[in-house]
Amino acid sequence: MKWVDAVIQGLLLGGLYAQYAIGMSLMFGVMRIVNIAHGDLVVLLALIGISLAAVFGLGPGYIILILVPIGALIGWILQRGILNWAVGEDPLPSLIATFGLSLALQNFMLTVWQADTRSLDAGPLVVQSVDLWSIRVGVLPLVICGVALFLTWALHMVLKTTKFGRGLRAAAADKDAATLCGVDTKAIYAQATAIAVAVLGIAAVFQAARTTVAPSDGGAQLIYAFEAVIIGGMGSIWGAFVGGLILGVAQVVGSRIDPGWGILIGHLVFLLVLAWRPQGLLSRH
Amino acid sequence: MTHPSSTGISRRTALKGIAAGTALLSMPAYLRAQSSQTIKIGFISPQTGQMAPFGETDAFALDFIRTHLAGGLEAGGKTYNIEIIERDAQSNPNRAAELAGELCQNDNVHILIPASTTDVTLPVSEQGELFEVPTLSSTAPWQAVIMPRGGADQAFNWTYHFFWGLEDIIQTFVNMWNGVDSNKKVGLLLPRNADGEVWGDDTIGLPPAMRAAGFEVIAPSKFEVRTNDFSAQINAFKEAGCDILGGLVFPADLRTATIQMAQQGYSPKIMTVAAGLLFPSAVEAMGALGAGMSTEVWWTPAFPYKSTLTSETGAELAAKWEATTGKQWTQPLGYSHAMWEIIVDVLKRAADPMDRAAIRDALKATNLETMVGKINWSNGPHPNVSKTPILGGQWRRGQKWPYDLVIVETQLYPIMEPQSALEMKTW
Repeated sequence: MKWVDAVIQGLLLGGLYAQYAIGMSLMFGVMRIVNIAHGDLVVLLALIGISLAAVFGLGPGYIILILVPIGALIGWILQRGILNWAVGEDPLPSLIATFGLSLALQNFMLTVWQADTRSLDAGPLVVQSVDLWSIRVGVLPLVICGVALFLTWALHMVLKTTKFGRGLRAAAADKDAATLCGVDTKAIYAQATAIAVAVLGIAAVFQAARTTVAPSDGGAQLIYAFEAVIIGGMGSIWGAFVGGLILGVAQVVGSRIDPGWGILIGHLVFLLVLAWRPQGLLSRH
Repeated sequence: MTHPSSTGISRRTALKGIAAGTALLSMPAYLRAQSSQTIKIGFISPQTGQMAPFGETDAFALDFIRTHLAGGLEAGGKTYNIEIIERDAQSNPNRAAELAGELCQNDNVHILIPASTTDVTLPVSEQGELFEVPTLSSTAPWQAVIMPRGGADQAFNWTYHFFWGLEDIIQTFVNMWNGVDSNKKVGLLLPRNADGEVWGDDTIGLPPAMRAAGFEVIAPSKFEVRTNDFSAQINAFKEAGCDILGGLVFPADLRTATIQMAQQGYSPKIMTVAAGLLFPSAVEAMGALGAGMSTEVWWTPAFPYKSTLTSETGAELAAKWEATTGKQWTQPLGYSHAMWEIIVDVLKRAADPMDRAAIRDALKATNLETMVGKINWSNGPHPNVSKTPILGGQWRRGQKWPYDLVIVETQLYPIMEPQSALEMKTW
């Protein structure tokens, strides 16, 4: 029973990682951009959300509704203003650009919000749990995982069925050929980053509800998002979700063997996948 | 091989020169006319990064002392200008060491102040000792600043530290837990970092002290800072039925763990955590779960001391901070102030305040009752350490601010009466 509990808690934790990973996977799959500022964007959106909640007394649901368009706007501006100039065959310029952005964002947030630790009060939901065959499952982790699943499915459908999705897949497969066929890749890129950051608006609310955020926290979750993307397969949306779940289960099962080992075992699983199947579990390449 | 930066005047030095020149010209005329000497103080504080909450009170104290000493400092019948060169360590020990080296060698400071936190005090103290610059530090358990430098069996010539030690905080925790009805089972949450290793140590840490006091200790192995899942530890505490949860946990991990404890139906009667509950903002971030958590107290406005610079009480200092910043007082406030009390006192007593060795001799001979307590290096646990009091406190729902810190334990340092008894934590 102890291990069943560990796997369930791990899957729920994996949902959290998946929320970070799908946006990163989208950006990496389409533009080969590793967004170092990914975590800082989560913190920025969370802090905006916390301030909105404090000023207008809004609940977390409304905050999500506001943060998603703000995230989309930030993503669009980020791509149009900075990343479109750095994107190309060479991954280095975009890496350096997002690294610089990460530092700039941290200092900007420190100036605006100071060094305080903050969180979002999501009411009694946060501490509630349900009993599943004598295993206590927190409502909040359950919601986080459910939302991650929905986001993954929705993004998959957008990529598969819409005109934008076709353009995006074309731009990802061969940028020059797509351009020749009349796809405005720069516009597609801006939309892709807008979606990636909009998803972070949702992740930010859950992050602020389940733990705390402070301006320098951004880097902490970046590594897990990155590992989830690699495990699942770069550029695969379902891969990012599955990668997140695998990482979550590895960490929780590992920590049940010994609490000090959890994160280490997560890293080991990541390294094993990288060694045996460097293209990732769900990648077709 | 030539180093391009070693020849000629670089852009940076030129700019510094211009800046210094402008500063000189902008000084009031009467100061320039005196052509008095300038005592340079290097001040390194974590203004940005993880430790930035500590840097906030440092910056406040710096503003105060600059105003206070605007007319210079009188010592031995002469007036000296005080130039405080402030640097941001960015919460990075390597950066702090680099800055300290620059201040000692290029700026020729007379005193170094690594204002706060282990990550700044330790590397800067190392540099101070190396370059023979008197160094005054605080807000890190004294072992953290003395032991890594081989201080167990030697004294240092230039670096002086004032704060409490691990033995004090451990005894304070044990005293707090002794005062309440419980099954005497303690679950320990400790991070896998320098602090956590020392706290969990089987000879000098928390477990042996607690066993000696009759407690049973359940200590799962240490967690990585910023763990997202604490279910393994929570299960262990639940199975053992720990009434008390103790340890050293930073705010983010503390909220993650506390929320998961509530989800998993584990609600210890007492929750006493070091480090993570220092700042009111961190307790507020806990939401409703923050009520009734207990922690160590280095300083509160209720301390029965006065400033030697302004004769203000702690309460008056805290009120000034709250009026200026609009934020609730924090514990480092008293220490940030006391730091300058000692500096001013030392410079006034120094045989020659422009001489590093003379300043050091005066520093060593300090005997001053500051905002945080008596500072005297002659009767500390180590020749370079002066211990200051530590008390136990509990966060309760407050009137003016969401949470107030109430003093509940004063046995170890009976400098005041407890304001209340430790109450069971509400869930």
